[in-house]
Amino acid sequence: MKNILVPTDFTVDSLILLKKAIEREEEKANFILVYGKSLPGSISELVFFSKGRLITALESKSFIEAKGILKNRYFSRINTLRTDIFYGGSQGAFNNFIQGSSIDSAYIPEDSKSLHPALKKGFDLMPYLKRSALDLHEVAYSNQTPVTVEETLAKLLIP
Amino acid sequence: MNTRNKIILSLTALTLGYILIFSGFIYFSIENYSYIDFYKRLEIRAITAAKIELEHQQDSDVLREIRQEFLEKLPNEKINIADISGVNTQAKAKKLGVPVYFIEEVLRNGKGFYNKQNTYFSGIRYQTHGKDYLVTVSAQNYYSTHHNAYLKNLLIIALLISILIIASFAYLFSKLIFRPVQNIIEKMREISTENMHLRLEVPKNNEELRSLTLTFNDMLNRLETSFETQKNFISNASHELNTPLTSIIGEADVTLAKERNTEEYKNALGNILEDAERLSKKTEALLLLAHTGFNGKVQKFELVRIDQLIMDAEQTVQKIYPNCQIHIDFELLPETSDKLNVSGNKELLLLAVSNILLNACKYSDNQEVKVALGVSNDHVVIIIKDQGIGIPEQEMPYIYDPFFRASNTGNYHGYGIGLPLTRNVIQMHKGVLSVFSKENEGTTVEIKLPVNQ
Repeated sequence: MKNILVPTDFTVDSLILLKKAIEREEEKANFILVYGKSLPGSISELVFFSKGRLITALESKSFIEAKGILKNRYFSRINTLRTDIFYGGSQGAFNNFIQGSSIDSAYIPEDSKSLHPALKKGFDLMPYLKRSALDLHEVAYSNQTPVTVEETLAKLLIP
Repeated sequence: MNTRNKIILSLTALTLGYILIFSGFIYFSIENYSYIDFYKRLEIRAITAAKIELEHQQDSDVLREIRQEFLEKLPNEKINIADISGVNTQAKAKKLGVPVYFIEEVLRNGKGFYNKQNTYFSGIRYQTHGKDYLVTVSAQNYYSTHHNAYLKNLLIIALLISILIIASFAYLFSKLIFRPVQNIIEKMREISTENMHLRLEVPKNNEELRSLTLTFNDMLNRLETSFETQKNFISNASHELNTPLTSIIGEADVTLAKERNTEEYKNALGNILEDAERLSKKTEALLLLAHTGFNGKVQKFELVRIDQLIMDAEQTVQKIYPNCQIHIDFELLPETSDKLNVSGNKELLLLAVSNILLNACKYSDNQEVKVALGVSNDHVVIIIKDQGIGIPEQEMPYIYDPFFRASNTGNYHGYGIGLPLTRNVIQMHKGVLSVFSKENEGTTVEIKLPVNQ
């Protein structure tokens, strides 16, 4: 089964990428939402660091809800859907990350400034993705204005 | 018991327990060590005594000197050397005043220890010139009686002092921790119905208390709004009911002022009937609102297929607004249909959804209204999005007030009861109704209902 990487910024909007990726894949596959965030700099924060807790803190209620909607909709197409975080800061680290998760291909937005990871203090994965040896599929998705306050499921449900 | 005392108690108990274990361990190790040490002293004395008494003169002289110089006399020290070849152990034990097993142990292992209260016995078996001797040394253990007792007292006193220190530390610590909470409590006490506009000061450097005060302030905001709503409701309601009544009275007054012909009477009565009907509609809506409000009454719930419900609502709305373009998007419907069931009252849910849909059509002047449905793990999500006039941002807190109508709705006919009614129905089904809007751009309504598991 293929492992598909989809970059995310933990907004409901960005799940449109995932939706399009699922639609473009013909077979059942494993989908991995990846977010770039550096590890904390202070030793005390590192001691109590946990990836699970970080992901829980990053995922908003609407985001989880939206993921649930997609999972229910494409029940037969999604084998697993998980969220992962890339901590590294170099191309080598990213290549290792891809190898470690044995990722086969990735879906990226046509407009590379559509994701806004800076909203939740993460970094952009686009440069790493573009320089990696991955099979990249571009998806028509553009969102120049980052979401500010409330997050609605409307954008996912009504394109 | 309040949390502060709990903290003081548990902190003290925890540290005390730790100190108890710690000092107990030290006390018993020292005591054990002093026993072993004392037995060793006795053994050395037994060996030297045996050598002095039983060996050649030359050797024993040297040893006697050494003993005098280095081995201090222990309290109540008694040395006994006995020839035991051929003597009954029991008789021997009786003579020395020691139990039989002690003598047997010495004979078996070559040495043995035994204590009677504070008198300690050490015995060795010494063989020389083909004869068997039993050498026993007894003395009082000064260390156990004095040093260990001193240590015991010292530890107990230290323990008592540390209780005081720890308790006062815990007290100060809890005071430090709870001072901001105390402050918040005092501030909260000040806020009552008369001064609902007051807000708590948000502390800068305490993450938990910061979120607590923010939550409190948020709650106060909502409370203030609902207080205002309550205040406004009566005046709004009486105004709304009064308008048609005034018009009925006015019409009747004018008509009765002088003699009129049949046509005029008919006209006047027609107007009065129209106003009365409006009044009746309003009171009906009010009654419905009162019925759906939270009053603890259990409604009859059944399984409702939400996609069917949306189709029904669309048909209802199309009858009233035939020109409205309703676009239903079922693209994100789940593959398995069993998640589409919601436990609820079908009529009320239909009323709620069609109310929202009616609003969307009414305020968007026949522009496209989009309806979408999705099901997550816990919720059925219905989105209704229009491109109508929207709601001004500063009026958003009041949209659920009965009879409230946004300032930009002058050209549209309505009572201001639909949205509060819908919210009541959704809340009755343990759902969430959220409205997002931008003036002149449109409104998005999101209805979340729990999936029947």
